[in-house]
Amino acid sequence: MSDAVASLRVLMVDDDPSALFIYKTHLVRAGYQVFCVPSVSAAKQLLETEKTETFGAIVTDYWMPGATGFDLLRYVRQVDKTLSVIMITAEGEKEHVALSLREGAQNFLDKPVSGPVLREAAAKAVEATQRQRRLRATDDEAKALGDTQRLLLGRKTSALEGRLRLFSRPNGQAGGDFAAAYALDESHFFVMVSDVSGHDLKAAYYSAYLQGVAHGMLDRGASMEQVFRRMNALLIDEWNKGSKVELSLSACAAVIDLYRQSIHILNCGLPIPYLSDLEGWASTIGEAKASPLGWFDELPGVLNRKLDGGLLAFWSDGLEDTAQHMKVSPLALSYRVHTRKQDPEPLLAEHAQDDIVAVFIELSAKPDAPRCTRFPLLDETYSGAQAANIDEIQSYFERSILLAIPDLDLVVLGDIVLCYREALLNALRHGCQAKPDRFAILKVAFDSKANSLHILIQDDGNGHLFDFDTHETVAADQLIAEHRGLVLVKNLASRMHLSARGNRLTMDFPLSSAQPPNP
Amino acid sequence: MSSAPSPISCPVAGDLTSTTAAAYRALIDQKLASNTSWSLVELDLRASRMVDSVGLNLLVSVIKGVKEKGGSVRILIAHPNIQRILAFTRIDKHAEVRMA
Repeated sequence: MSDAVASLRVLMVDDDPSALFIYKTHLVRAGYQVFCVPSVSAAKQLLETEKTETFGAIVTDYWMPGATGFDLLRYVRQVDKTLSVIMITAEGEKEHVALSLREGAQNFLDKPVSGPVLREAAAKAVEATQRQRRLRATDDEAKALGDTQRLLLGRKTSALEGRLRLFSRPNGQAGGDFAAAYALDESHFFVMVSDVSGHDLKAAYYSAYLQGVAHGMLDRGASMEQVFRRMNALLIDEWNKGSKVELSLSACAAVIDLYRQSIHILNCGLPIPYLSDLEGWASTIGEAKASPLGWFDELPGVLNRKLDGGLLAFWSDGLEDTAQHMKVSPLALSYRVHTRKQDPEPLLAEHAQDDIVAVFIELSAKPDAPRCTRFPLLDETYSGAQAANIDEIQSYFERSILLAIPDLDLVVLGDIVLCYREALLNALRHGCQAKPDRFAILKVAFDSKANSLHILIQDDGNGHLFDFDTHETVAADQLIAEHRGLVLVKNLASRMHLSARGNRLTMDFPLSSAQPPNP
Repeated sequence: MSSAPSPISCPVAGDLTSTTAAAYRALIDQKLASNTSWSLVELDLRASRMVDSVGLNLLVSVIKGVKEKGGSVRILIAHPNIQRILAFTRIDKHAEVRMA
């Protein structure tokens, strides 16, 4: 039945036959096809038989034997939210009116109801139903588009099945962010994450179009640079003519050679990707973000790196912005959304403002080689002058670790945070001498197999050698202040290792809820 | 019969770290200076979750100062992490540590 016909059908519910007759007469004169029933149960039966979508509105009395108009309203809201309900109440029944409106009644009419008032109310109710049904149809189409996009995402990344973890969350039903992986041959893979400007259905369409261009070119043997140049030319010549910029595409692609353990990366406008080694220590690839495709003719150069069997992690702006909003490391957020130890959706619903696509790719040389079990959670650089902000830095670390490992025992976390604070302060104050132009780096990795956390802190100072056995005893027995920080680290970490003349400190922490060993 | 003087209590409202130790040092010094009849100083760290090396240095400094004047120190704690730290730094050999 078409919407036009449905809009003319009105269901009237009242136990008073004379009232029903009068209402029906008013509405039939206005061109409506009117169905009259004397009770809520009869109304429900008719709606089940005829289907709710064949009606344009329901007009119901409130007080009827057996069940009230409010009961009918609640039933209709459950089966078809688009169908408008008008409630007829006796004058003075304000509480029923308020209740009905709260539950979603489209309107209410005080008895006695005149012909013109009823006709005007019916017309408005039918119009509201039509509007709601158009909105629902659009929403259903957007959902279908989103489902297709998710299906496509799964298919497009299946080439690296077992090695690739994909997370996708459009901000609406569908979005402009996309990821794709293509097997070029047995050991060569092309992986791309892209983000079309905007995050609406139009962006989803453009994203699919540009991914199709990339796919077609790769099938015909084009290189990564050729694909990017073609997409850039398409955007500039066809959509962004002259000084007008309608559309841009941020994209980062990698060609991975697993056999030779090398990677080539081209990044136009996406956040800087991270590459980690088998220890889980991550480093960024490249420095500043380049312009997205569609802005200028020039493209940035391809970056080449040797691999060490670790992980490649990259994502769209949405993840970086969400991490910034949550004041956590994007690596930690990336780990959380990929592992889904606990559903990240409540967090993302609160903090995410944009589409998110993120990938983690495992880079071991052979399919049967042991998989990397260490995931990078933080990669930060702090200047010596930031020693003054140690409380803020500590909070960032603590939030990031708890985000990535939400079930972490808080007593264990307390020890880790204390060691982190001590070691970093030592690096910033002594190694970097609290100077703004000297830097310490911090890296944190989580070993999912061993359930352990690993921290690396390195500064560019002159170094200092420590004799722990002597210092620890003297500090304790003679109550002197020196080196107490490193004594804490030595006793709270399950293993600590100093190298590079004391400039490089690594610490390991088992994360089981068992108490850490006492000295 | 004269009763033993009650301990002078020095509460610490949060973590005792490099960023808070100087302020607590001043508060504790002020408290000890304003009352000279004490023989037991009670450092109340029950609200502390963390004591870092600078915080430990403050505890050591108070213990040494109080001992020099013939008094003793009791440290009240509530967090197991702090109990472990006071044990392996052997501060618990120089002051009474009470888990409360």
